[in-house]
Amino acid sequence: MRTLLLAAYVAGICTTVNAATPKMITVTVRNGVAYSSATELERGAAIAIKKLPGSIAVVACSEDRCTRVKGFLREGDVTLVNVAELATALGFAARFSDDRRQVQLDPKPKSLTTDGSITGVGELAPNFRVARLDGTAVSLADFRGKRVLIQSWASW
Amino acid sequence: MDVQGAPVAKPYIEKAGVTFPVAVDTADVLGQAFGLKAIPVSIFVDEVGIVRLRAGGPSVELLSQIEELLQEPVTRIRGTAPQLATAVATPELERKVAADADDWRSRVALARAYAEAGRSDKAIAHLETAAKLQPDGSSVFFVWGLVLLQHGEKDAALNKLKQARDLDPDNWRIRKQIWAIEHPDKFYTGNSPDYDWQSEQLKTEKK
Repeated sequence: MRTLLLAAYVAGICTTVNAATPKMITVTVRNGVAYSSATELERGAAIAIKKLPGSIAVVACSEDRCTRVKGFLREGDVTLVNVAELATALGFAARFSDDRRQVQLDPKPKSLTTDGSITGVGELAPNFRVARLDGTAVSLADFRGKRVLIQSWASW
Repeated sequence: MDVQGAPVAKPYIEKAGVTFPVAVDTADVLGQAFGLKAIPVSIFVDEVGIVRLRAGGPSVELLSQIEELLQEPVTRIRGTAPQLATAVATPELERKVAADADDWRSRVALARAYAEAGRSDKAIAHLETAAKLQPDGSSVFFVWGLVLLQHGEKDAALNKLKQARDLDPDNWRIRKQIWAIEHPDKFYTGNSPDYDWQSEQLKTEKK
């Protein structure tokens, strides 16, 4: 009985660890270079791949960081991103399977406090709080998950 | 982006009958976050939280770029954005300043929070320290000017705003903000600001 409980406990730990570990995602090889599709990266590694108007690079963002990647291909509607370049630029570890048909992208920890530097295109917008005309507060975070156009303007 | 606050912005908003949320950024929060030297500026943030587009005033090109972005499928990924000091609650800012006396950004944000709570004495004490830590920091002096203005000390406020301007002379926002306070007749009496006067004023100041 005691053994069974212990086994259940160990299995429980393993499940938790597995849930927190990034999934293996499919690798597509083109000219000997490993790529993954934007769909795979989003589904398996929680990395969003987005176009930037007027830029030759795409932007890749995981939960807390963004980077630009020039190594990408378009095949119809599919965007393929160079896995090694993506991992290095994002500060992720890329672990390929032995047959190199799959890869696991593992984020290295990063601080969430801003250093106050200026935010540019292709970076995560920092959260800020300002007052509405009636004095109540509004934050960018209030619109989390929505597309927001911020239009700055003044009376002068 | 008016340090004079909602009263100067409201007439325009009411006249335009806008339907989107309008906020008054009296403390240069957006200016510092996005490094805005002049306005208007449009910034498009997508569902992940990524800044996808930044452009000057409204244009046909901007509209078509926004339309293109809106047609993209919505991603399920949500970024966790860093918090600017202005989005942090006062007790947390107090803790940060106590833990790191050199953290001038938290100090400026704390000063602003105190000023909003009517404690301008405490606000100014923190700004004095922040200015010593960051003597070239235009933003410190800008917020200092704002706090003094809210406290009714117009001349002292203008003095600090001019220090901010001199530390960042290409910053149009600070320059025009000072004009609007010093010469309200050139901004708020007609249907729109007097742009000819502004051109002349700039020539005078550049000499």
